[in-house]
Amino acid sequence: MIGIIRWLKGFVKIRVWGYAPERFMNLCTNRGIVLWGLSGSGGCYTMFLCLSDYFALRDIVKKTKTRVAVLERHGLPFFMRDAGRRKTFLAGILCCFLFLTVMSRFVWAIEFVGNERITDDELTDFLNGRGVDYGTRKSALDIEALEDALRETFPQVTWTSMRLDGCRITVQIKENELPAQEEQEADAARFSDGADLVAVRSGVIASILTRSGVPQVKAGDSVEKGDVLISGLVPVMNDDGTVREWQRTAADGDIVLEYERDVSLKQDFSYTYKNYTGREKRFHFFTLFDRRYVFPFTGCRFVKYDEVIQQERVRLLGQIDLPLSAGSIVCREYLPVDAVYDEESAKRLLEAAFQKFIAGLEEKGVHIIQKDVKIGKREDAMLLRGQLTVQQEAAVLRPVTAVPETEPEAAQ
Amino acid sequence: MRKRAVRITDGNEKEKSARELLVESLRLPRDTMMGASIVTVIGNDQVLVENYRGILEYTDCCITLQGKTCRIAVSGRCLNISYYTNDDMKIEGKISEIRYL
Repeated sequence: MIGIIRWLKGFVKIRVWGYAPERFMNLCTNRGIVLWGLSGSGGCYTMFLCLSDYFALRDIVKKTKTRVAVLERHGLPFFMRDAGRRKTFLAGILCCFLFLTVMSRFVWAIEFVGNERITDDELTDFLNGRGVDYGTRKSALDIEALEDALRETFPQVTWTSMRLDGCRITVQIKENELPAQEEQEADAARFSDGADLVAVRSGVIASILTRSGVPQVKAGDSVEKGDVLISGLVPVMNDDGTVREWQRTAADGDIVLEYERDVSLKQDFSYTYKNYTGREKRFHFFTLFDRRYVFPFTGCRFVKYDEVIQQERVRLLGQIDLPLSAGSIVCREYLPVDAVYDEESAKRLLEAAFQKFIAGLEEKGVHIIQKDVKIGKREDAMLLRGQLTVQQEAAVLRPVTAVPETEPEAAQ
Repeated sequence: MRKRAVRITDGNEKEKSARELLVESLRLPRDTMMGASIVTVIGNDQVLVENYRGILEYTDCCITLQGKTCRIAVSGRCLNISYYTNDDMKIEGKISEIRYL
């Protein structure tokens, strides 16, 4: 602290020599002049003192018959004097402050916190659509309106908070952890006027379990795509067995359809692989906003090559994101080599592809009952063809459209 | 690190004046009442001196100070005065001897 105060006031290093330098020091302290960093011997001493005190030395010098010479000058008063000569330096400092002041009026970083199902890209697109992007003026932001719009645009967002810290917007969101339940509620609202369960594909009913509604088919029946499997219209009967009215309900049940599905996979004998030559060329680049500048400008002269890009965003003081990225591109040369699989390898690859296909189906909830596939050889490829007998839940809700109003009247 | 601090006050043990007797009997601080110098030695490289009148001699191997009741000579090598005010001063260097003259 004392050092800062001394620097602000300015201080000098002096050399004192002459008749009585010790008396010079004593008189200095008697007059309240603080000396520090005293050293020397043989009648010649160096010491530091404040700039204001230096001008009070005249009497002391006369009285002690010593001589004083300034060796060094330190502190703000001398810095200001020197800076006055260095106009470009001063202009640089001014420009720097001006630049920081102007730039701090814009948004330079956008951060998303708490999003799991909604991707950063979706949120970025949303903000871009509302005119919020890197370089947007902070004064043009309406945080509350943005929060409302975010909740309206993404119904699964239950809570949102936007915060502007310096030049950074932090969007914190909390997503609904029970989307299935919400979807069910939404479906219930949509199908409040009744809905049928209809087949999404043709096939044979393997099993049917009805929770609500009236089943229209039974196990073993063949159905076509669009056929009503469980009706959402429940008849209310009169005592005489006629229909008094139709109650609307959202049909619910488990219906498993069995159908045959064609499968056809092909594995060519000929293929091309990349034979890397080991030659690499590295380029450096920086990206300003959306434009990339690559150095050197010569470009990559390899005929065929892969690019591996490493990019990092520049952050000022680790906090302020700048619209500037820097990185490097490594071009790895390769030669495309044509090769041929033998029959065994092609067959093995084909079987692996088939297993992957089946695994994909099972992930989607398709149960494979029977596989009837054959692997054949063609001149240029191995072919796997056949049919799979599969079972799958294949019914969707459709709002009730045709209400048989005439039937009750006819019954009456 | 502050290794060891020794505080020495100068005074005349043989002849006690009335003022000294009063100070001793009332247990008043000698430095303020008698103007005794306070010399605080930290290790063998720092000496803090309070209650002095001025410098009599200053070379890089000996600094002689005028106290209010006696003279204090600090001897050693490469002696520097870190700061020097009206109240106290700090001497740094390789100190070998402190004498009361």
